[in-house]
Amino acid sequence: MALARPSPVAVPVDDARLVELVRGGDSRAFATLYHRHARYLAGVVFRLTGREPDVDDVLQETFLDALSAIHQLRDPAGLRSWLAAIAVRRVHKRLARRRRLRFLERAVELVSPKASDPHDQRRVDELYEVLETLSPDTRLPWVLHHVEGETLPAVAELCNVSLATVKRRIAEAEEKIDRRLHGAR
Amino acid sequence: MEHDEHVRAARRLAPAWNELREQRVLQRIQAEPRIGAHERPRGALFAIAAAAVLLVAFGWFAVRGRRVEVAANAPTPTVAPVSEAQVMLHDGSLVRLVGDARVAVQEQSSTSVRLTQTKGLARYEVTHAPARAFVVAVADAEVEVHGTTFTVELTEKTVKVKVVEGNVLVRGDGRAVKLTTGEALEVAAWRSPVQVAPSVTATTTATISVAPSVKPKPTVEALLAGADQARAEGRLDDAAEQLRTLVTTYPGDPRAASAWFTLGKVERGRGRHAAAAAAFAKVSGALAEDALAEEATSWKSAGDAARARTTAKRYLELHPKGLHAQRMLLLAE
Repeated sequence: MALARPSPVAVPVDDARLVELVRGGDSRAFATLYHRHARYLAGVVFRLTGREPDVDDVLQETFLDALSAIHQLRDPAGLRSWLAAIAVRRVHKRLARRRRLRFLERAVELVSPKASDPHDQRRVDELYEVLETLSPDTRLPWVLHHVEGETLPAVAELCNVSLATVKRRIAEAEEKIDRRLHGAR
Repeated sequence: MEHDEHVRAARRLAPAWNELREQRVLQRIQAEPRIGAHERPRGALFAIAAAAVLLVAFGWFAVRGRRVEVAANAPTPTVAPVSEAQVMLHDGSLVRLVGDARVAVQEQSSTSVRLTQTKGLARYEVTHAPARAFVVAVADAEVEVHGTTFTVELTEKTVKVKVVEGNVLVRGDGRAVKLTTGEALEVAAWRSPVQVAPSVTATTTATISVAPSVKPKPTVEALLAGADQARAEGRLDDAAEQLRTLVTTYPGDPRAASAWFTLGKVERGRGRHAAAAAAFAKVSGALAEDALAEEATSWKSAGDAARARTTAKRYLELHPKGLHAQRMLLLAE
């Protein structure tokens, strides 16, 4: 792939065109894509992991993964969803690793994201304490659906599982969350 | 759902994300160690992006601890961590940047490679290619070679050229001095006094004159690259200055719109929200919708609720189903 000099016009068009440019080696297009989607992805990753430090790492991994697979992207217009799916995979790995380490250490680390609104903090603490007890397989679909507001088919797509599986996992998470939160009251 | 309140609280969660953090992550992507090893084919794409961002999006490469290569015909520029900044050009020539040295690539082709050194000490290891001119412009002087190793150091007052191996031609003020292995030359930078040493030896330093000259107007590309680099390094004041120079010097350039937009973001990063709003207000073209929303937000951040409201309403009139319509609705209330 040839590395082109930067395109003279820094104003990008749509994602599809930018993807095309990135595939052609246009670095400015890549930077533009990054800046266009980084904030959105940061938000999603933060709510999925509940940890600030994870956001930077996951974003870094996500964009590196994306660059390595940019030629496999079939629908360049759907770049954001594609990036989100990569981020979800990265978060899944990270959460799974976190759970494994916690089991080995026999210690439970209270992980709770800092709420922008102090009034939300107690509920955020309670919710993420429960989420930490869930497996990534159930946690991620639940957060994507209920917190991120993704439709069930979209969650299935993001998690790369069937719709039926997504429904089952969300229901499973739902039950545990309800039970834990009610018990906490 | 029993836990609606919890969900709503979670929905309001947002990371402490800002432009600087965004830029830092981008830098981390560029610096990713797995990028670019030639023996790992999978790294090629990583390399392209990372080196591309380094070499082209930013243009400048005063980056420590990285190595950048640009291959000739099928360029697969790579980035790999090393102890000092190195830049490999498409002809295989290597530029080693010491400390805070800065060098910009102006041109790379099979017949001509042209670099501009604007700061510090750099060592050039130029591959032998008689048909290709390799020129380093530094202050008012130019160093031309065809295959050699030499160093150039730019200080406030002087340009020092030292030949490690081979021959170089140093031009300035209409004159030229040829240096060979071991010889060194000190050229007054910009407007310094002038004197040409009677001879140049391997152990002496000669001085030649460089007449005062009008500094060339920076190009749009150079300003954009400089601004990008400044942003990447968190030097927002410098970035703002470069962008302002661009939009005032080249108001008719098609890139001026994106420069205004970027300037708005930079001003916001500097906490100058009113200035940010004013910059966003100048944006036209493809970014106009985004800029209008940013302008409204900036007025709000600047504490000017009335202008925020007016701008948000204008956005809603122009883009009732726009990407930022929801946010603007809140501001317009």
